[in-house]
Amino acid sequence: MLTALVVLLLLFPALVVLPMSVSTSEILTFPPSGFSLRWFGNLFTDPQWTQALANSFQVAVLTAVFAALIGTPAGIALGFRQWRGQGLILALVVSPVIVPPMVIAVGMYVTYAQFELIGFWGLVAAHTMLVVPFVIVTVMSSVAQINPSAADAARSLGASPVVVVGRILLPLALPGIVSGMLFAFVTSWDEVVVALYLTDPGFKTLPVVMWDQLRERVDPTVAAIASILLIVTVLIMAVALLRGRRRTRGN
Amino acid sequence: MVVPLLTLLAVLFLAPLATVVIRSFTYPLDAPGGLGNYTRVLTDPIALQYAGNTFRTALVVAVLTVVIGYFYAYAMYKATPGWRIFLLFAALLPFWTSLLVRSFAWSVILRDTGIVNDLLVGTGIADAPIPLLRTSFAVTVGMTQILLPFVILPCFAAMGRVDKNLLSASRSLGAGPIGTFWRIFVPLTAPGTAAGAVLTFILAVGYYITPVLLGGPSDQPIAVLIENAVQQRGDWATAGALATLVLIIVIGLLAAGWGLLARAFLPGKDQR
Repeated sequence: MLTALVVLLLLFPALVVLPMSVSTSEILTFPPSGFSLRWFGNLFTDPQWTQALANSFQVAVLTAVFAALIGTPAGIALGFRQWRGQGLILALVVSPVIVPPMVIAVGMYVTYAQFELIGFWGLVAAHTMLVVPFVIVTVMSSVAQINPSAADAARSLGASPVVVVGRILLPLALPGIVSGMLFAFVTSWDEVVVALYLTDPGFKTLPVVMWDQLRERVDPTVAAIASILLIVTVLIMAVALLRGRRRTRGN
Repeated sequence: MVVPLLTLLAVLFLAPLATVVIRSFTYPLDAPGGLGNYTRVLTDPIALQYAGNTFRTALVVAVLTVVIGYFYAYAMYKATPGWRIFLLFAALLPFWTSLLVRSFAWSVILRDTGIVNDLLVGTGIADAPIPLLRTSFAVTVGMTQILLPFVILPCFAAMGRVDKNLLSASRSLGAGPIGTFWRIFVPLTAPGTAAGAVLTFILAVGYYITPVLLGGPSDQPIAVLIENAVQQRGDWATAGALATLVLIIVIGLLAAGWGLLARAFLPGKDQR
């Protein structure tokens, strides 16, 4: 009974967003009045939304790629073997997750302006820093499963370090890289506070447009985006969970 | 292999933080405040009030998420595999849905014409809609919902590692189920619970979106004060001092809880 209440608490916002997105009303209401898909159409025809969607998508993809490029080697180095000073480095590289967003946002706002790193690339750089801990942690957990003697054996049989990394460590770290990139993408896609400081009227990401709307007049396009994201998320999670379940059964 | 990452972190992450800290001493430019900026901020009643809002909310949310999250994790632990998947799914879904959208959904649910008030008035529990939005209640509900997964996951993981033989031993030595739960199971899972609590508190201190969208004037966090100082007045002395103080507290908490957090959230060789 209590569990059911907590499940309701967890799922309530999601359950409310879906019906709101198909309302015929001009403003967001619950329960919805009537049924219409116009707000979903709006999302793909109104230039304000299409531009924001495109911007967010590009930023999130590049962020995930850069985070994987710099996070993977670090994750392998931190997860595969123990070395001195590792704990301190680890604390430093995961710290972007816990630093309050407003503090880092104002700092990036002035510092990046000095490098003239603002707009699109500024936001990609900022988001890469914020999400790289996800890649590091997921890669670490993948390579932590590998027995170091596998690498030692390969080395003693004549494999060069490059071959050891490329043929043993990278393939085994791949699941970690992929899930880390997924976290990175979703986090960048949803990030508001830093984006508010590093975007400008000519370049806005989806959360920034949504934030502007939420503080003034709210049209149900916001709910339509949320619904699409929700459905995509549920599908990805369902596939991941079912696959994970089959794998544990197989063992 | 960590060098490229550390270089980029130094330039793109640490330099911005350092800039904020430096500006807390060197601004205002015409008359650098030095430590005076800190004494001014620490004796400013408005800053203290916002600090009070921030830490009060973070504490309440941390306590609530731990109580609810531990209970939920225990339900997952006891559930059949099918239900466990469903409960895990329900716990993870919010994790993956937009924070902005969730905060906004709560504002729709809790407003005077929202579903909660419709229910309260419709069933006769309340005569007129109770103002729920723009209150501490709304902020607490919204942030608790958003931060629950950070407690549920480490608690559930800690429960999975409990040696079941210890529980049977406790029972066969005469302890009842309740005694076994409180005196064996809860202490054994305490590190995971504590890690969840520390992380929730640290994250809650930094929250901005949810309190702004759901809270009233007495729920606004320090982040709002920092934002106002920068955006409206370009007052880097105040913003810098406030941000540095928040940073010191967060880093202090991270350092204090590092052992617990690393064990609960970071993969390690020793856990294999």
